[in-house]
Amino acid sequence: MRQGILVRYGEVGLKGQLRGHFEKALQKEILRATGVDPRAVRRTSGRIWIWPEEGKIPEVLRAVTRVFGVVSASPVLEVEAEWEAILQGALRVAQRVRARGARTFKVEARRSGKSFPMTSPEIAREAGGVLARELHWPVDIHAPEATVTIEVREKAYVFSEVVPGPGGLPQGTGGKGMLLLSGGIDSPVAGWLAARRGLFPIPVYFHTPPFTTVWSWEKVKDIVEVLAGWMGPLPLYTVPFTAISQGIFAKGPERLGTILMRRFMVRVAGKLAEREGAGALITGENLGQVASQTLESMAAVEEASPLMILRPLLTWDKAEITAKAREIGTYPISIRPYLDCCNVFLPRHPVTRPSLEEVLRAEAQLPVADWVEEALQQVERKEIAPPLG
Amino acid sequence: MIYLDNAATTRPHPDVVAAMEKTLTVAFGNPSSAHGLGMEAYRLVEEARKRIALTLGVERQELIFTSGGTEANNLALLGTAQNAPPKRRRILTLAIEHDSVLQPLAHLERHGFAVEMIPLHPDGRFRPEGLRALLTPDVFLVSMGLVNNEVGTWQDVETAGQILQEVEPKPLFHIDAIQAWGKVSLRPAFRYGDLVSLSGHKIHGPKGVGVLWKRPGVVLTPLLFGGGQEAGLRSGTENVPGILGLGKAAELLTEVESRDEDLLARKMILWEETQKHLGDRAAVNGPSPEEGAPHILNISVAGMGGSVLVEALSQKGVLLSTGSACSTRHMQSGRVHRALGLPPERGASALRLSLSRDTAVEDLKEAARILGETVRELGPIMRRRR
Repeated sequence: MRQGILVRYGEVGLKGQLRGHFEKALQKEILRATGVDPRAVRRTSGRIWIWPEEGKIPEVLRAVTRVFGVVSASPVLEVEAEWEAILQGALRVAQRVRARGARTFKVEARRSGKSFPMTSPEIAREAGGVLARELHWPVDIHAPEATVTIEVREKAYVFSEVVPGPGGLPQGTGGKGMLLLSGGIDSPVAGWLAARRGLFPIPVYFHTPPFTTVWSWEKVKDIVEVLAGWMGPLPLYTVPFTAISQGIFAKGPERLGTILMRRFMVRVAGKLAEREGAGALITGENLGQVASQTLESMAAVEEASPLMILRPLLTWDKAEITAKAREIGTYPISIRPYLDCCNVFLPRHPVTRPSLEEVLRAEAQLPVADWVEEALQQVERKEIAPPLG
Repeated sequence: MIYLDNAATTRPHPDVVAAMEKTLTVAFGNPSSAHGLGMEAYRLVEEARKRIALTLGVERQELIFTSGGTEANNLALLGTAQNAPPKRRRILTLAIEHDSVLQPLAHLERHGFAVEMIPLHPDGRFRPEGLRALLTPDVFLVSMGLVNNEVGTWQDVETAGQILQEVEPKPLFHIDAIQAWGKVSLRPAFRYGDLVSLSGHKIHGPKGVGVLWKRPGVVLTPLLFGGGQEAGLRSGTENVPGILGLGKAAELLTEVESRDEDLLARKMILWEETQKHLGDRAAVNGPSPEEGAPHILNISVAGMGGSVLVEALSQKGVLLSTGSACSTRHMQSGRVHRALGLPPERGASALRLSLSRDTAVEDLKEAARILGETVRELGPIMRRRR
């Protein structure tokens, strides 16, 4: 008898000829996230089995249910495919679930191959009877509070608890994208959503000292650390943006300030994308939330971007974004009250429906290439590790 | 680096560090242990207590070591209020007090006490007639800081103490002297106060240690129960390194007659230099520089966000705060400025420059020059924001 973890993945299995590629990526991610010995991980019949060292089950379970592509995972007991052993295993699993407060249960059984002498319905019925009797536990076939599952193959497997994972696709199977990270609530969620579709986000932070303080930068690092807890070490790019902001402020029309700044940001991020081999930019933009997030403003910014801009949150409501940020764990960091650069350089009367022509005319007065080049020369790239534990 | 944030914390003196190191390497015993190593730790703690009592002019059995100023204030306020008779549940304090006073009082307010604010002059000094008007026999406790931590107001606790004697029964008088220690004389605090809070790290001692002085006869209920250390008033194994560091720091303080005039002279230089570089763009918040505490200068630079200036100056190696160090990171500064009746923009643009006896005159001149230069650099942008 031994204890392990059964990992289910959904979409990954459906991808036809790409399936092998995705499954390999998922397995690699599971190894990274759990740190278990590669020999302890097996892939069979559309599922992954992990057999960690004794005592490591809770921690591996926690880690594996944060891996993108994992639909759910269960702690599982492996026993010999013999009736007595199966019953003993089922009792052990059932006792644990019962102690957690499940008032009713049922047993589900699956048999693959015919070597075991009982049919699936027989196994379920007989085992259910034994558990009900031994544990004085009422059976409820239709709406049980716990389900004890028995699978009989070469060996037999018993499990009950099912811990949901994030779903989606394994990290990196969708390429890379530069994530424009501000420290607010939205952009970390956008990065997480992109990552869940297999798109590896590389965060870029535009730092505007002294108008943003070292504490704002620290906050961004803390957010990236939380994201790294989901996707492994992340490189954080910090772009000094004070000179550009001040330049725009001094030379550009104030009402176009935000749009011009954002055009510079996407240009710099586009250049960094070349270095990283990233194929898109990712932002936390959300339609209509602020003046710079109208269709016209977004179009005026996108025009300057060498890459397409992905906006995973475009149509979300604020309450949905906030709920997701809490789930991911970035929310409490995002709401720390430090000044955003945008606050200081925010125009008093920003234009909401800019014409591209007007924007281009204003920008023609600025030494665009020089400023981008200067910013790129001072860029800092720092690897942020996941939080311990 | 020019460090002008001494009201937040001070650099521990090398002798303090040496005294502490001894208890972390050699004399590491638990003062409650029966053996010789424990005995040695006990002796060191009691010697430090004696030395601190001596410098303060009080008896050593009247001192209770705590984990710092916050605990000293909490113990003084919560520990006495628990014993307030049901009909004496009013407490008076000042709206400019530190959060380690106002928050325990807010807690008491949620438990049936009435907490009222004594009216203030625009410089933060309490109004004697305002105190008199609030003072009735149902006032159990009055809490006042000897020196305010943000704007440096120096309270006349002698007058306050005399006014408190006009009412029978006399309320207990708690004096938060954390920012005052070593800067102004504490004698009036010990003469008129019943409880006085002090902290180690504001006087070049270590963090994590403070003292509450309690007049004999004042009934105090502990906040922490356990092994009965500190005469049962503060259980927990003694912070031997902290207490020794504090003892050494106290010993290194020089006697202050009324106010450290040498320090004040340096603060005046800082203010004059600041005016030289900023002209009338700089305005003082709180008491006029020559009247307040000798180590705190709180100014506002018109049209300049305080936090932006702090960041810009930090990049240039000049370290200071906007308000109280505990609140500025969270942009809650401005409470004290509001309480003084200053407009919100004065609070938002406030800078607190705080000196210590280590601060060199050349550094003050240089800091003022850098401040002026920074304001000129950032001025165009910040002005347009208004």
